[in-house]
Amino acid sequence: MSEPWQIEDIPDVDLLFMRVHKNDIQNGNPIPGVFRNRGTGDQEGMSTDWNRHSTAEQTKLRANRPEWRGGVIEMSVGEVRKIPRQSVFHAPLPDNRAHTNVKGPKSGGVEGTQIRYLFIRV
Amino acid sequence: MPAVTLKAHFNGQQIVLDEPFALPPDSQLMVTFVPQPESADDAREDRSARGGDRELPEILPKELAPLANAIEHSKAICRHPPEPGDDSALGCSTMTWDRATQILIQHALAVWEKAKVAIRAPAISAGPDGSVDLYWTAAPHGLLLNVPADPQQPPTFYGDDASNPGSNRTAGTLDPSQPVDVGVLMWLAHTAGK
Repeated sequence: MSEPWQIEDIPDVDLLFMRVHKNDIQNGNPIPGVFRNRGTGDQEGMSTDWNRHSTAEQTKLRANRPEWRGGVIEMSVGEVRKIPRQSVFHAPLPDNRAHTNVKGPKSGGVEGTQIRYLFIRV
Repeated sequence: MPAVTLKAHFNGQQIVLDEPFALPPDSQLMVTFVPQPESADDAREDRSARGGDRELPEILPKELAPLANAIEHSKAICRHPPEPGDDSALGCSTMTWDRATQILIQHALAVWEKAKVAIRAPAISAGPDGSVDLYWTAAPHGLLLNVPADPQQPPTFYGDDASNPGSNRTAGTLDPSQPVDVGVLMWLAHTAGK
């Protein structure tokens, strides 16, 4: 699919889904390290899916490789936006209209530790 | 006013807050006395006296057995290769893991020896850029301590009380010249009994 999806504003009340590999889950919870940026350029950020255009199951099925094993966590957009220096941007991909980046630093110094801590608590 | 944790020290005559805080007159205070080893060398001597390279269960008191188990199991974060399909696996070096677990052991022993409180075992995991994370959660309190891969960079920590995160929180860097951090000790002791 290659439709040029329109970039939309994401309301605070909506949810973001994110895949977490089974090795990054301890005692049923994601480890702090999963909250990190990936990608480069305009697509640099923490990759998530917006629940307006995706279900948790669809997010899980978007894993690049069939042997991937893990789960999907959900985060409130409004709560994510309360974390210092984090912003939520709809960044649709040709094959994923729901794709959304959470931009902003997530490592380095006390601030990075604070930010990842606050992500765990969302 | 909600409960607040503040750092302070004894200057030889009175207890002095490390940072200004507007306390109302006749405020009720609870003071936690946390003696520290005098230097990192002392801490190393202490460790040596405790058994040097002996296995953790022999070094730690039995009350800290869950902590010893968590540390033993966490060795895997340094050595398990990425699994098929896991193209974003986190990893760390044994050296960074060792620094992180030494910090953990020193703080656990300090709390145990001074207050006879067994801290709960944290989630020990690989963090960003080859670092190691130690994460404690005991609702409503939590603490994340990150040990960077670069030994020249100080570990950093952040924690709060989810019921009152605006005013009851702790954050900072560990002083490499001090084997334990008073702020971290107090927070760990605070969450231990939950």
